[in-house]
Amino acid sequence: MSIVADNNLSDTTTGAADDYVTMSVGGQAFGIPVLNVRDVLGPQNITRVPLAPDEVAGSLNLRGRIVTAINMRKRLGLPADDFVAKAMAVVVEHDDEPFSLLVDEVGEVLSLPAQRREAVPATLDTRWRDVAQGIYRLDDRLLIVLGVADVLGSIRADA
Amino acid sequence: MAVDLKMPILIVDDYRTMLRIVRNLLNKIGFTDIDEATDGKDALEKLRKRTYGLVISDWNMQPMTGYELLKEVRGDAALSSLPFVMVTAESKAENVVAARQAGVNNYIIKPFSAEILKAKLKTVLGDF
Amino acid sequence: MGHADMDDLLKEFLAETREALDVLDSELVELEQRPGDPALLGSIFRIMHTIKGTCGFLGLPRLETVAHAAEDVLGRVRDGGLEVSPEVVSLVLAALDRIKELVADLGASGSEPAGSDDELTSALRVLASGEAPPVASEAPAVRPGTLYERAGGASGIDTACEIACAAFLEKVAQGDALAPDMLRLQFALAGGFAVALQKTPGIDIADVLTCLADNGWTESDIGTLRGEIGKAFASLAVNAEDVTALLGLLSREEPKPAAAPAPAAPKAGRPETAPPAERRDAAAGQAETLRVNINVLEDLMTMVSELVLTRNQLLQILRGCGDSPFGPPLQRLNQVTTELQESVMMTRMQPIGNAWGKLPRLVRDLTQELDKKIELIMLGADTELDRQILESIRDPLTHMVRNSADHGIETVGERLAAGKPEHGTIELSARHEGGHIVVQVSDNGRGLPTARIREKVVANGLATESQLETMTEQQIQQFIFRPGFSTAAAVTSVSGRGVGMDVVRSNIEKIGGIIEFQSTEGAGSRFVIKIPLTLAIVSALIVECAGERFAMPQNSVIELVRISHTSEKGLESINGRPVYRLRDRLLPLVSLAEILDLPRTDAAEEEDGPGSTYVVVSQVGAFVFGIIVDKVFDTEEIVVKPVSRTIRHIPSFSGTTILGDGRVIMILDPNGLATAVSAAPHVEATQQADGSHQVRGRDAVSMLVFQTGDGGPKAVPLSLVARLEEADLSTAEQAGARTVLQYRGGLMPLIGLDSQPAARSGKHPILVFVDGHRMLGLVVDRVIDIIEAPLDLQLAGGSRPGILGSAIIAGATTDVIDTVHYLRQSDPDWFSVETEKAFGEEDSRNVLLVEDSAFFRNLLMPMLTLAGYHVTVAEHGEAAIEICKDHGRFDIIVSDIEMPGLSGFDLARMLKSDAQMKGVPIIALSSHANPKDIERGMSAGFTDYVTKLDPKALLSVLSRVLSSDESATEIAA
Repeated sequence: MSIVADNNLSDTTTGAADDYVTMSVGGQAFGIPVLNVRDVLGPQNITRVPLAPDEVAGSLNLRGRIVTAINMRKRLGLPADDFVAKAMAVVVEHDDEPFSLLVDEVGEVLSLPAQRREAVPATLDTRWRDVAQGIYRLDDRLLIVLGVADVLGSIRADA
Repeated sequence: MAVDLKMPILIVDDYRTMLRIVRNLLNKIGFTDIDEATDGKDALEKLRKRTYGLVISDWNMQPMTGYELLKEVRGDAALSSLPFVMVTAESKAENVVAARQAGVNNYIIKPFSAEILKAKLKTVLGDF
Repeated sequence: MGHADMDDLLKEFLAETREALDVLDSELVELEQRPGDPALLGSIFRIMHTIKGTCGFLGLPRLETVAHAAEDVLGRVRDGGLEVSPEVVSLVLAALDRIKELVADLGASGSEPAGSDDELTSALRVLASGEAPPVASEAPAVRPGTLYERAGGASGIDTACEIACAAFLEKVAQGDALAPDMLRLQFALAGGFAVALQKTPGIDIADVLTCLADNGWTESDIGTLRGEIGKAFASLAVNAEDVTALLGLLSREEPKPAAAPAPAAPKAGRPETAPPAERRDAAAGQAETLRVNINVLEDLMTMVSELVLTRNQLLQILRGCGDSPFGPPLQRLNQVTTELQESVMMTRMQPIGNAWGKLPRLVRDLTQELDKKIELIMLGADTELDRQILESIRDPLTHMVRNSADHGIETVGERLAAGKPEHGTIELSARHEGGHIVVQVSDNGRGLPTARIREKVVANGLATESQLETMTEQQIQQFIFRPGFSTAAAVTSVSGRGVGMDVVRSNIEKIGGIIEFQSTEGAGSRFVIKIPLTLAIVSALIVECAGERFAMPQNSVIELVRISHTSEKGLESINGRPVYRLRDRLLPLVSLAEILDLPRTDAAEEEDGPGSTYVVVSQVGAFVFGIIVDKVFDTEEIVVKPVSRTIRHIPSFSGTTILGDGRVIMILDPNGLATAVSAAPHVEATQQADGSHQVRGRDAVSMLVFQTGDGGPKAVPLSLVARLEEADLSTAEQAGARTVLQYRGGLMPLIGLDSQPAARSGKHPILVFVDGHRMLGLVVDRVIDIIEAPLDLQLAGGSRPGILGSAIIAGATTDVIDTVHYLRQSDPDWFSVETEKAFGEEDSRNVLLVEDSAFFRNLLMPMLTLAGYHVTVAEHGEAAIEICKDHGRFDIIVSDIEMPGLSGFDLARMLKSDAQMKGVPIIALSSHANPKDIERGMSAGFTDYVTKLDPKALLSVLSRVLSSDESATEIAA
């Protein structure tokens, strides 16, 4: 497990806490509110969609539902060679449509106190800032909270 | 107790709500065996399949009206003496006279309570 | 009745009433058009009547009162006491609206809202009674708490009187003598109570008793009667106090209730309603029906989809097993699954008319509001489609019709000033077209000038002037669908046509549909919506390209051709653009790998040894083309699922599906592929600027562009070229004054663009024109390209023989050659043989050619002239009508279908209704001919249907129609 659960931090919480599914993409830790996550899957058979936007890795079959897979490395501007075949999939919904976010690894669920959440620093890379809703400073690393709508909303190369 | 509360009654209306209302009222009076038909045609088919003790039919239905149903019933030897009560939304003498001439046993004006229905049924079926 | 039971009952009442109200809406509008229709009137009356009747049980006095007042008006209309005027319909519609409001409030809160309907009901009552409204608030409804209500309302009073009269008969000695009058007495008494308690007009209860006394009744009799009435009320659970009050009304000595002025004429009350007219037996042969909750159907559909997929999976496994004992039962399962699937699909189908129900009312209201005259024509209302799709297009359609009525159709004054008929028309039509449903909303209003769109596009920063320069008018018009096209400032202006159109488009696209807009200034606008059967299960051909599989909807596949890489028979290349020769036609080809930008792999070749590819010959409208793929598999029944939003902009795909083996594949969109075939490099540029997918223009034509001699490029419609050959002309021979080439077992004359016999030297491309056994080769220097372009012929080439005119093709001025000229040069008899057979040259026939495209006018007119016809040309439908009026008789009319303004269909209908013209045969010309169009054309009055690019077919049809016309005349004579 590359992401260490900060038990100390969650145990001492007295105020409101939010639960996040944690994941890593290209070595960076991200979190998605657990209520947004429908499912977590291992590597999937993904059908490439020709002419699709770069971030769209393709479509996969999740128990009869067709789910669009988003290559999170590409979405975050990270190198993505040989990534898709072994990626984990975090299934979320956006505008009634299922998406699966392809990430390197999925960690455990962290309960983090809401008051420890900080605003996104202006120094963060723009590509990351666009999808971040806040950050947590954990003991050994920074956890970026992803906004599902922010990640998916702009992938729509419409006219 | 001249009236058998277990006798089958056919109620006819093309408005589902009305069928439920009439059924509820009949239940309240004590009747238990109630069939429904959604227009005169449907009613006629049901009447020919089962022996009923009473028909309570709406007047104004499609495609076959209660009046047409009544004429059919009275024209059918097997059904000619079947007690038939017409439900109508107004007390128009002409309607009642026409229905009477076609052989209706009585009529009842909407809306009505269980007491009124019971009183009307008494005039047709006798005391109960 | 328990409380929960009541809630349930109320819910059911609301659902049932809403259904009834939807029907009422359109029926009332219909009634205005057909005021004399008794069946219609009866049906409307009945619905109101039923609502009224049921409300009483449920304690809904406001609803009951309004429905009752409206019913009275309708009753009066039915009895002939009132004419159906717009005023009557408006007022009844107002009542309907009030009922809807009340029903909506009831649904939301569970009880009737407080409020007064007096104004509305008294207005209705004025209409119903034909006189000024009596004192306010005398609704005949049961009002809670009144004595009338506590007495049981009309029903209770009637019953009490009945019981009392019956009991009275038994008691009095002369009962038998009185019996015949008892019914009358019962009514008189009941009516009297109503008058006293409800202040309705009628005979006062005291007068009834006076009347009895006058007829010889003794005080004692009357006393007995009073007693029985009291007992009867008591038996109906009316309390003692109320019984006393009721009996008080019966005492003649007491003064009449103060507020009840006795009406002067007792009989002049509300008009009596006659027994309902007998209705036609509409349901004769009607199948038995059952109401099913929609969720159940949805679940069924989902389960059937899963079943289909599982079935596919099983069949796939079976195929891999060779002989298996599971074979026969699986085949049976397969068959049953298919049948089940079809049945479930059928339960979800609804006529599109269900989504149109509210439109007549909408248009009618707008008509009155805007002071316009608008006729709404609805065609194909019985076209069935999946109910979910139906729901999705309901609002967009309403929006478009509203737009047409609001902004499209001009006021009467404007229309008259523009020389148009004062009645504007909005036409709504639906039809099935090859797995799609095409819905059109068109109007003959003012249209939306492209110049206006351009201004707004630039003003709103959606595109620059220079980008617009490269776009066709059609492409520019599509900007109205762009978000941001209508700004707040535009909303208030007249051209607010764009308001919300982006929302309309996104709604249509949500279900995988396409919407297009066409407009001609001054002549009208048209929206064309094409909806795929998104939820449907369709048959698809599974193909593979570069190792990836795709599904191609079977209904657009004409045939499959396997091409071995060793022979590549039929595969040709024109300047790098592949074409395929299929029998007598050259088909433009497109490589799926290229369109989809797939990496070229040689995997297919390695596996199959000597490589082969397949050409999937496909058809979209009248456009036939070939798609090159690596492999072709079976056809499979697939469940079409909509494409993700993230990739919906890709025109090549119409959906996604899951195959039997569980893998996800994309469904190809033949329309999108056709666009790719026609996309020449310059077109691609404009497509990107526009962003929306290009839809083939109505007169877009595949042109073969070539170079020969001096001057600019030349072009000829590809469909007129039978083959493209290359030959060394030194092998050609001299035959008399002609140069001929031995070709396919015959001698083919070769000529140059100057119409002279070709020089016998050098290697040259040859355009081969074939007609039966005759051939002609046109020798050119170089073939440049095949380009699909909307043809807009700029100049008539009258001064230059062999040139029809010039057009801008791929950005260059290009001469379009007149093939007929060359064919005629080569063989003067070409194109005239059949016509000579049909009739002698001396009586040259008069043809009226109606065609708005300069290109086709110039193509067809010389050809017809050469064939011996006397040709008159009209540039549009309106001109054709004028010409027919001025010049009288034509032997035959040839008309384009799609023209701005008066369409070919309209023209045909008009001509067929003209006494002088109706005998003249009309041939339809169209660039797209599909069976539906043909059917529609026939019903509009066309005699025959010919594709534009097939001049030979036109000539043979002309000759056939004229000769049969002639023989028919002879027989008649």
